[in-house]
Amino acid sequence: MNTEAKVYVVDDDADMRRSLRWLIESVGVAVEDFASAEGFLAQDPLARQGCLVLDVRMPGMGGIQLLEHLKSLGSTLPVIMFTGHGEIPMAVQTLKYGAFDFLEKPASHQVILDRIQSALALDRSIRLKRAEKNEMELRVQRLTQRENEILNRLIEGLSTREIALSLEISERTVEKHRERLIDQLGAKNQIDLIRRIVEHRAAA
Amino acid sequence: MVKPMPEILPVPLLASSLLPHGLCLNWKPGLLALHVLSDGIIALSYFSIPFGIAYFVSRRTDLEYRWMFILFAAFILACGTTHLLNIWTLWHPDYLLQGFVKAATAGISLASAILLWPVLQQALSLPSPRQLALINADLENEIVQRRNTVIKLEAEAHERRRLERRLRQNEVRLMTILDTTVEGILTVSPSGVIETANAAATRMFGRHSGELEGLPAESLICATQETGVPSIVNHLDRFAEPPGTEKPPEFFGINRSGGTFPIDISVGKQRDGEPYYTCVLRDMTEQRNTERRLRQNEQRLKQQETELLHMQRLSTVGELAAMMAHEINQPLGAIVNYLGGIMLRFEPVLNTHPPLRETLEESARLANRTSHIVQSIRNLVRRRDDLREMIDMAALITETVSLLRQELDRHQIELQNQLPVSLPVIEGERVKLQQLLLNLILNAIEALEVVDRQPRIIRIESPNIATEDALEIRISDNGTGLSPDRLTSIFEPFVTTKTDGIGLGLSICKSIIESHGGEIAVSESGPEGSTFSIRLPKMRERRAS
Repeated sequence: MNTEAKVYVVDDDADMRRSLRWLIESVGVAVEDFASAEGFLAQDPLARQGCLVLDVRMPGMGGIQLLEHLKSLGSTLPVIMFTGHGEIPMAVQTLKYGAFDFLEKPASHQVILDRIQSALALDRSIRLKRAEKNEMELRVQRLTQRENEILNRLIEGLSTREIALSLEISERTVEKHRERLIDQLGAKNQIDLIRRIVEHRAAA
Repeated sequence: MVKPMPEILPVPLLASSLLPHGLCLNWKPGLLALHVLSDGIIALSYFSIPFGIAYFVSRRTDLEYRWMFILFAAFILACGTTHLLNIWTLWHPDYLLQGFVKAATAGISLASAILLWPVLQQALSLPSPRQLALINADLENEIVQRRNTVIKLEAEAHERRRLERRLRQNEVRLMTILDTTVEGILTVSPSGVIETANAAATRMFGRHSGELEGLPAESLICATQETGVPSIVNHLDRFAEPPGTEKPPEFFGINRSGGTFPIDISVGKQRDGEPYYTCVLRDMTEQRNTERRLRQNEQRLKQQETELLHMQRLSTVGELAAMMAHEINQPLGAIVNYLGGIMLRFEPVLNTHPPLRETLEESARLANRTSHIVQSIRNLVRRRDDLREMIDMAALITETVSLLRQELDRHQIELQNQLPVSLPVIEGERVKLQQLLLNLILNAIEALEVVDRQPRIIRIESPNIATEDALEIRISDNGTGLSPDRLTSIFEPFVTTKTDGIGLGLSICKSIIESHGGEIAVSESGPEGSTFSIRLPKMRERRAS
């Protein structure tokens, strides 16, 4: 478990905040709580890792507003919304705005912890993917011009011979470059290399 | 000049031995002349008189006792002849002739004398010409008078003819008027028979022209819907005199097929002579239908109002329950969380102390049960979520304002609806949103109620920004504003600025608006009133799900 990851609890009700902290910390997850949305936004929300447990009803900036604001900032932090009982439209609204899930109060502690774990897992996988993507980006950027030329031709589906002819170099040189590409971009073989590059470019 | 007679007996006539009378006079010329002259004049005179009488009689054919005049004429003529013969006998002794003439004269005169007396008696009784003249004058007077009378009569006759002509014209005109009036007009005789009917009446009863006349009024008009009520005339009489004292009951007309239709009837009674009634009838079918429709509409409206009230009461209770659910669920949630934390943290202890685990689990179960009790109360009054519909907020606001119109007027509040004609469509529950608006406007009214400020204004506006995905509506008043410390707590339950309020109005508003995914806030407040603004998410295209 990532030590930086936390569960952020935003609820105006202090009793609820304290009880959630008590519950969540009992499974060894760090908790940071805020009495208002504004308090949570005091620090850069994009730097926060983990998940957000958010009460819908709050004076000042409401839960949905905060959710909206986070989404507009491009935050990927999974948000679990706490709604009142039977507030289905509100719940639907939260999902529309991109909440990870919603829970009705009072929810059983298993359900709460279950959702929190899922949210944390999602956050982890998102961050992992983001890290992978950044790593790939770095590697792609490090490629020489010749390596790029050969990579593009490989993606186009040209054979070693055809690449050698088009670049007026020996087939042997092409093969050397290809080996280096597979190595540099962390691929298992030529097919894996091409898949990674295509995926990377598609995500870009 | 008489020639002296010869001395000798001249004439052979004398042979009869009689002597001429002149001899008795000794033929004295003077004496002879005297006799001849006198007798001649007498004769001539006598002869002239009968001619005068004859002329008179011939001219006056109307003369009474005409024969008497003729007798006199004959008598005088005879007398004249005797005198003539007196002259004759002076020279000629024709005494026989003279005697006969005298005898004739005697006869005539005797007859005249005898006859004169009775005639005289009668003649005396005859009016004198003077009297006649008087009578004549009288008669003439009378004639003049009569002539005048005749002239007058002729003038009168002319006048009468003129009047008759005018009367006829008037009658024609009146009939034309009667026939063109929309109201049916009947005249009813004292015995209750229709005397005249105008075209409208004929049409009204579905008859042909001339069919109504002569029918008994009962066969056309009845006082109740059951036909055959006797003596409609009595009814007519009651309402005719004096007019308008008693409101007639509903009358019904009877058409050809025996069906009835409501009519309005006003009755006039002809005062002189036998009471004739003039009935002016109006077919009330349309009006009754309209009235019925109006009544139905009114009832429906009332029913709708009642329903609305009921719904709002339900909605209020529902919102109250929702609020309670929220308020109770909050600590309940905390309890459940604590219990959950305990069970996780002290798992080893609980494993060795099963009753402790059971007790904790039971406590968590009871917390959940409490929550479910609150929830089930809420479900009792909660309306299903599928009652959500697309709502035109502008129309809903107009409707809500019209519900409060009386209240606004009573407090002399001017409501300025500055909303654009159309607002974005909202998805929501009509009754709840209406209650939200009602509460906010009522709050504004109450805030204005306590200030003397004029004019009192409530303004509803929407700073509608097309790009935003929420619809904002602002309701402002220029009443008592809110103090800053109230601003933060105003939407909390049981917080109120009013002495008689329980502080649920605005918290219900908040509950409603939140259940619609929206927000409510006091955007401005001060001594010059406050502004509440609500934001509701606009309808979006549904996501495929």
